[in-house]
Amino acid sequence: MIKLTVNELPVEVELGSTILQAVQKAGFNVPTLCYHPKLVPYGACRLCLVEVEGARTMQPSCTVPATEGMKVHTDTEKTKAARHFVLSMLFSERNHFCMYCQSTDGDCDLQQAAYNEGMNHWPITPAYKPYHVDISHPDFILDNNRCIICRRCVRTCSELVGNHTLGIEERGSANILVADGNVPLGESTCISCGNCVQICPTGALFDRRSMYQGRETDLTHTKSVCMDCSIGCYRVVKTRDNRLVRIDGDMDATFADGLLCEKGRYNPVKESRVRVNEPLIRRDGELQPISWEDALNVVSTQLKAHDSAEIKAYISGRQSIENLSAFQSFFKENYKVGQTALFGHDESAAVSVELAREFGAFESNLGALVDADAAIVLGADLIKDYPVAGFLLKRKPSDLFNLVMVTKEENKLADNFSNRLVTVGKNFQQIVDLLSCYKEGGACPETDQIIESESLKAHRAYQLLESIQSWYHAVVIIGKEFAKFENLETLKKLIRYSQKVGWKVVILKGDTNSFAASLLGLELNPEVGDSPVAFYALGDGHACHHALVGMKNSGFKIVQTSYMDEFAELADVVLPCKIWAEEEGHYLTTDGRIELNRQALTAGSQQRSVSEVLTCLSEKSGFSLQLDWQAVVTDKISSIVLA
Amino acid sequence: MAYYRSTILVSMDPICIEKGALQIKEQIIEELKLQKILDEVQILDSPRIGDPETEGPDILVYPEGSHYIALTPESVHPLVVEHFIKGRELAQYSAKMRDLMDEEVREPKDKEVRVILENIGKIDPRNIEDYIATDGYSALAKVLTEMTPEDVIQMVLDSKLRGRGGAGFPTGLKWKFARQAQATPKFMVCNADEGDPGAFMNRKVLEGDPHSVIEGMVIGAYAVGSSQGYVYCRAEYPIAVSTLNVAIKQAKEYGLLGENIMGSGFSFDLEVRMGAGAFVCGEETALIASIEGSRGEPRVRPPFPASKGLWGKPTNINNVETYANIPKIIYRGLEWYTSMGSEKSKGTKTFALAGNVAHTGLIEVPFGMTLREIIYDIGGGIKDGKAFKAVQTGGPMGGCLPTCDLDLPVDYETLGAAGSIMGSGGMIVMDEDTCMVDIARFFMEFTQEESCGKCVPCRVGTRRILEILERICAGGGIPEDIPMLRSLCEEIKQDSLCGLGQGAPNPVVSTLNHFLDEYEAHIYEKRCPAKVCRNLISYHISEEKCTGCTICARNCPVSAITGERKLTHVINQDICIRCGICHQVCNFDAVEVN
Repeated sequence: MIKLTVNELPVEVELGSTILQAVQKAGFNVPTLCYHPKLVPYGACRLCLVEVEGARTMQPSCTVPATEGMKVHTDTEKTKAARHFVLSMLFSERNHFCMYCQSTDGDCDLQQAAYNEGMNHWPITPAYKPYHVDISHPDFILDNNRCIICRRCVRTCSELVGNHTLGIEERGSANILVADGNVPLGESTCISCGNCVQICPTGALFDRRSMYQGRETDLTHTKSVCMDCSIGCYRVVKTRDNRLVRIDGDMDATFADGLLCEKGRYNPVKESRVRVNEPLIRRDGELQPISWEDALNVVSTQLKAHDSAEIKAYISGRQSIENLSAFQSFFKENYKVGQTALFGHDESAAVSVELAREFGAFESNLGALVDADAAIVLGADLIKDYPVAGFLLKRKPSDLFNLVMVTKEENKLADNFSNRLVTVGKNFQQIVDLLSCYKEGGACPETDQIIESESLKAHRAYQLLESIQSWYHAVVIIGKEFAKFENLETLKKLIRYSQKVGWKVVILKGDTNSFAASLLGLELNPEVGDSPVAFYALGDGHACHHALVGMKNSGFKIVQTSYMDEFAELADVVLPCKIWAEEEGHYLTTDGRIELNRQALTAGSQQRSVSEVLTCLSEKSGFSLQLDWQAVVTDKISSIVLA
Repeated sequence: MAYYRSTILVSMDPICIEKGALQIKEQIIEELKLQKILDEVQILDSPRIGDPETEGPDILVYPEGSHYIALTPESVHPLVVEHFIKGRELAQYSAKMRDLMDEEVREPKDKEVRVILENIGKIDPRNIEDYIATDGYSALAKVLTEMTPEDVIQMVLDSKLRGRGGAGFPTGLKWKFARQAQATPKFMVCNADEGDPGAFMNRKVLEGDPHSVIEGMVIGAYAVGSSQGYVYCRAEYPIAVSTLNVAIKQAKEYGLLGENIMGSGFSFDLEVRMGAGAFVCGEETALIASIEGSRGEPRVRPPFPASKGLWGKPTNINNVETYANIPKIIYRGLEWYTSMGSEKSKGTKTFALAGNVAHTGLIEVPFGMTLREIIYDIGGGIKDGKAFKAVQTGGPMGGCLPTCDLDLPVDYETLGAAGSIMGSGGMIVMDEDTCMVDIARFFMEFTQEESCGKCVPCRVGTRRILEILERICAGGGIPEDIPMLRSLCEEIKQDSLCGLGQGAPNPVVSTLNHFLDEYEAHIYEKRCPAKVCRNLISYHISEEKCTGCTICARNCPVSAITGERKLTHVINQDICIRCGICHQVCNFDAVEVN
């Protein structure tokens, strides 16, 4: 521990703490602009300057380490003058006319800092040349006139996301924020994750859809978890008057630094499908409104009219554990239908459960990606399917990270690394053999042949293979293309080997709640056939063509969905469903965290959740649903994923 | 080393090469062979000698100091015969009106002491044997065979050698910190990103005596325990880069660099990295960022490079001149070295003397010599007999010192206390015709352009100061400008991230302190005392002196001058753009400036 004084007040901080941390611990406040807790301290804006006794100049508290016996002052004439100067400079630099800016009254760190310093005018008349506003991006707008060049966005783009799109061009007062060496944002390599927009302290980068729709304080903030894939990023759902305004990452979360990807941030607000507002039934070939009571009676009658073993029921992986468990209880345990399954082809979660039978808890959590110095990615597209997991790898220093990747299609993850062995195809076994051969210390006689047959860049591949002994934190990431029952023996061999050499293993488990579904006993990657009665609990998910084919040949089709889509068009009965934001529910992430999705919006009077519908149906049939999912799910997690 | 009675320097400026300098060189060699005097005359490549556009291809012959210009293939035979056989200068190709002593290699004046510049122009920088013949690499041999790393550091500490890059940090202490750092590998970096306008001390050393820097770096690497080094040289110095590369190659061939140096078991490799012309990359953390391949921007210290530098590893960074001092200190001993200089600043310092001084060019003096001695005794006083006004030391971050400071001894402390800096060795002398407000504006223009833009005080502050100074020079100054300038300067100095920002206000502060009257004349009287600021002067033609020769009217680019032949001419002030051409062309001094 280090002892120092802040404004004469003694305070103790841990070794390695900055002055800023000490100041905050002592209960004082220093304004900051370029500082952000998720980014490496940068010391550029100079707003957090403090006086340190004995120092020649003012010291930036965000970067300077606290040292023993240091005497820090945050509220002297000199510090006030410095803050006043920095703010005057910033306000004189570009167009900071607050009244026309969408980020104002509490949403702008610059404005707030000026208020806190008691500034009520510009000491120096602004002298700036106007910049073009870049409106080329579909999701957000870049207004360089509002930019204070703190580079939080640039650092986010490279330090956190690893995309390196944003940068600063020109020198001195000509500094300007650009994408890819000055192309319009919409034409750049931007992947639209929007993290830069969220982190911008002023109104330079702002969201297209939510601009001028209310300040942060006008919006209702609901902390929640993302369900657009099974990574489980934390997000804050921002609503106003029962309307979804914007989704932001939860920067208070430690997991993945509160980052979101395009799917998690923008997909829900981009939703353009038409909602189903009341139950519908097909009469004379047309879907026509019907009351809930009548609709449920029709469904109940149809279910009873057929042999339950022939009935098939499907549910979307986006549904909460509560809904999945009600679904399984109703159809499988009580009704004993022939098939209860999840839409889609991804059976990785079931494979993981199967592997755990032999190996016990063999999987690591996603923290393994953060610490990794090498990754062996087998059959997973981290860029498209799990972008945030991709960020955790992409942001690694290009020269110091080793990437081995076998995927069905090319993806851009490889572009970030110079030490790489990347091949397109399905020859997982061959590459794993190659790696283990080098790991064992011998050169593999077939190396040349493999490198040639897989058309690998030979010098890069050899460079990587020779460095294999110095991988201390390697992680094996397995995705849906490899995690299949047909590869079970190969997978077992790989896991056995990984355990031997200390490589961590992560299996990415498909849809949001596939893991939970698998634990509850739902079928993954089902064979889809016709049936006399079929129940599709699609919710707010997207139609799966695989299931649609089976649906076309089925008899009576019941669809519970939020939107009028291809399933609804084919259905005999359509039951309106709540969307993700309208009901509370739990989600099990790929690495075994159980997270709560909180309700942020109120559904219409006619929209019901899957479990509400199934509860009504079970009452009609005289069943009682087993809804105690916790006992089933929670107990099993620890036997699969290491804590 | 062979003895040559003469040395021919052939200008290898790209334009000269385009004009056939290589063929001329070949021909000279052929002709010397023919005359059987090839063993008496040494032929060396040189960077630009004269103006290549008008004078190339050109050569310089030493010790005579003859400059032959615009050479053609036909000229070589008569030149060699006349100059080297008959011993007469060939007037036909001689450069006229040129002070041959100005820039490259000039005989030292009496008060100069040449340590760093000792070998320059005397040895062939592309031949390691020349350097070895002047006791080169003897210091390294001594270090590797007789001294421990601690001994070396102690010796450098005792020599009181201070960083020649400008800040004057004790080199021995810097090495000690790098030695004490735990992490490995450690890196040695040589800062050869010389960017001060008009300064070329480091370029001369790299071009003329590269092995002294290499030897200094190897010794430093042995002291701090490093096995890899980089010389960060600006890309605008192509000859320095190529000379260095040749020198590194030769040093490796001789076993003085690379694996197992001199069979001692110590290994050290060296590479040249080129900068892309950013002034701020002379700042050590920006230089590190640039070598790493990032945008050249400084980082906040601490951590200092000695603990976390290049790729996060302990890194020792010194200037070219600092490294060049090392072999001399080790080989010739402490007693010799500490006999030169002042109490706290030992040894010598090179300066690039420029501006309105009679003899401009590179000089080397011991610390403690006064500015007056440098300007008058070595520089030959002010050009054209004008009066001295100020001297600016230390490049664009330095302050302007007036007449009353002329007797100050030149060392780190004294210059700092006087409001200027030692810097890397720029020294610009200004005469009575210099407007100090305009000078402050000029330097501020430079720094605000070269600011990287990372921190607010430097990025915006220098811009605001520049705008005020431009306004004052244009006649729009207001009384509030002076206190505003003072407060901006004080804050920029206190709040900026790196030395560039912290030093940027120096030219303004020092001129405000010493030449406030000039600012006041600009602001209150709308008058430029030095008659420099265009908006504040006007040209008039004196009735007594004008002969009506019409030369002014004919040369006026905007036709502002009217008048009949042999009658007094008149300047129309509404049209005049104050370009000053009439003033220059008038043969009777009839055009007066008010």
